[in-house]
Amino acid sequence: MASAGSGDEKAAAAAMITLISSDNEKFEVTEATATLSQTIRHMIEDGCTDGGVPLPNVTSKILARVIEYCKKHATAAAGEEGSSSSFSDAAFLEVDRAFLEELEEFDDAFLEVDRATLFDLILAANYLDIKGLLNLTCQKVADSVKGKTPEQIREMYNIVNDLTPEEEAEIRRETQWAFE
Amino acid sequence: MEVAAKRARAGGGSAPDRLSALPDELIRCVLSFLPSRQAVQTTMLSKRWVDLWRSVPAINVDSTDILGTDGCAGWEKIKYFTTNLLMLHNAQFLDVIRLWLYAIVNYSPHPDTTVDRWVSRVIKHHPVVLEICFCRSLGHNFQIPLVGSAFCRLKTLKLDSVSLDHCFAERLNSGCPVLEDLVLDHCRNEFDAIRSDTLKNVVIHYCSSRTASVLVIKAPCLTSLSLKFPYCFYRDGLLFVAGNSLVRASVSVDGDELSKRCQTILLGSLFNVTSLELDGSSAMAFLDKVLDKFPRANLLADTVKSERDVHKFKALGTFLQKSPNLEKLTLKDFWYFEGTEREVQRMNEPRLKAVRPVVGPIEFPMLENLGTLFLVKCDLRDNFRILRHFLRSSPNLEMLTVQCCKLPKCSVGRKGK
Repeated sequence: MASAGSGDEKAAAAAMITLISSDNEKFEVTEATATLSQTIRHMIEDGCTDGGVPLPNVTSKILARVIEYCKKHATAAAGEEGSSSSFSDAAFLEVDRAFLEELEEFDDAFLEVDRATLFDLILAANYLDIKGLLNLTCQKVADSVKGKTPEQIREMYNIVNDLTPEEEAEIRRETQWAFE
Repeated sequence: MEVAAKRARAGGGSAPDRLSALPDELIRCVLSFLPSRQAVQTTMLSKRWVDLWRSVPAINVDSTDILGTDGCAGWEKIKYFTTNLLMLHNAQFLDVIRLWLYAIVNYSPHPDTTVDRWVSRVIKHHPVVLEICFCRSLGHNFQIPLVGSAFCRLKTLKLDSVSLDHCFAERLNSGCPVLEDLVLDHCRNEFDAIRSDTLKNVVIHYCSSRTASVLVIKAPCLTSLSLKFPYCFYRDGLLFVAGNSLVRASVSVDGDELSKRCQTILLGSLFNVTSLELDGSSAMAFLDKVLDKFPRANLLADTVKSERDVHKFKALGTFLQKSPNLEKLTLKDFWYFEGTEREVQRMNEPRLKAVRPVVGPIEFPMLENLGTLFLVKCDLRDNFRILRHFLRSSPNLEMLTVQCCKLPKCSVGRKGK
C-alpha cells in the first residue's frame, strides 16, 4: 500500500483540483479525491476545471467535511479495488474485515454531527453526486427514526401535522395493513 | 449551555423541519433504508408525506419486523402485509428488493405459490439488488421466474434457502448482463454450472445438489471467491475456471467428502491469489492430497506421509512456495486439538519430536509479499514452529494477529512494525 500511495501522489501532483466553496474558500484536492463526486468527475472530463470549481451550494464548513470523507474513501478504494460497498458481508474474508471495520469506524465518527450539519451533508452529497456519502447520511437519518411511531418522528424532526382528523382517519383506514 | 443550545437547534419548537424540506428524491432515499412497514407508516406524518412511501425505490419485507406476540411472524400476517404493499406501491423502478422471510409460523407451502407471485411481480421493476431469504426449515420450493429483461440491471443477487432449478444457471448467463455479486447460501441447486462474464464476487455456502455431482464455475472476471463445503455438497466438488483476476479466496471445509481430483483442481486454481483464508483442519488434509498431484510437490517425501502433521506442515510450505503473490494469509482451526485427554497426550508423544529434524527452512519459502498474517485457533505448540517459520521468512510482515491459539509454555517473541 505504501508504494501504491507514493505512486498515486506522483500522478496526482500533476492533477490537483481547486474547489471553491460558496463563501469563497479554496480547497486543493487530488483528482482521485475529487472524482468521488460524479459531478466533479464530469467537469474534469469536460475539461472545465481550470481556475477552480465553484460550488455555490456548499459552504466551506460542509465542503471541508465532504473532502475529509472523500480523502478517506478514495484511499480505501485504491487499496481495495473490486470490493463494492453494497456487497454482502458474507463475501468478505477475515483479512478484509479489519480494513472494513476501520472504514466503518471512520464513517461512524464522521457522522457524529448535529442534525443541521447532517442535512447539509445530505444536500451536498446529492449536489456533488457522491453516492457513498449520500447513502451513509440518509441511512443515518433512517436509523434515527427506526422503530419510532409517527408521533415520535414528528416530535423528533419538528414535523407539523397538517392533516385534519378526518384525513387522518381516512389514511389510517387505507393503510391499516401496515399498522397491525 | 451547550446542551440547551443543541436542543434549541434540534428539537425546539422553532427549529425548522429539515426532514420534510428535503426534495422528494432524498426523502425516498431515506425511506429506502427503512423496513417497508415503517416506510408506509410515515404516511401519517403530514400532508407532505402521505404518498411518498409509494414511490420509494425499495421493497424491504423483513418478517422479523412483523412479529407476533409469540416472537414469530404468522404467515397470514406477512401475506396480508406484503400483498397490500405490493398492490399499492407504485415505483416504476425498484433498486432494492429484499424479501426476508425468517422465523415464520403457520406456513403451509403446498400448494401456496404466493411468494412466487410476489417475486414475479417485483422483478418486473428491474431490481439492482435482489435478496430472497427463506426460513431454513420451510424448505420452500421456489424458482426464479423467467421474465424477459427483468434482470437487465441486476448487480447483486443473494438467495438463501431457495431451491433453484436447472434453468437458473442458463438464466444467469443470458439474462443478467451486469451481474457482479452472487451469494447462494443453503440453496438446493439443480444445476451444474455457473457461467458469467461479469461476475466479480461469488459466495457459495452450504449448498447441496441432488442431481448434479460437480459444480463448474466459469467466471473470467472473478476477483473474490468464498466457498464453504458441508457434507452434502456436490459429491464431486467444484471445478473452477477463472482468469488471473482472482485476488481473494476463502475455502472452508467441514467434511472430507470431496474427491481428490476435485480438490486438486480447486486449490490448483487458487495459486494466484493475494489473500487466502483456509479454514478447518480438513482444508489442510485437502492440501496434502492436492499437492501430491503437482510436479513441484515432490518434496513431500513418501516416507513421512504417515506422519500426518509433518505432512500438513510440508503441504503448507509447498503451497506457499507456489504462491509468491500471497499478501494476506489466514489460517483457521489448524492443528487445534480439542480431543479427549488421551488423544491430547498422544499428540504430545515423542513421535512428533522424533520427526523434527526433517523439517527445515527448505520447505518454508521466503514470503516477500506477505504483509498480513492471521492465525485463528491454531495450535502453536506444535513442533514445527510454524510461527517462527512465518516470522523468519516474511520480511515484510506488517500485521500479525494471533487469536485463540494454543501457545507453547515458553513465550513467543512478537514482531511488529
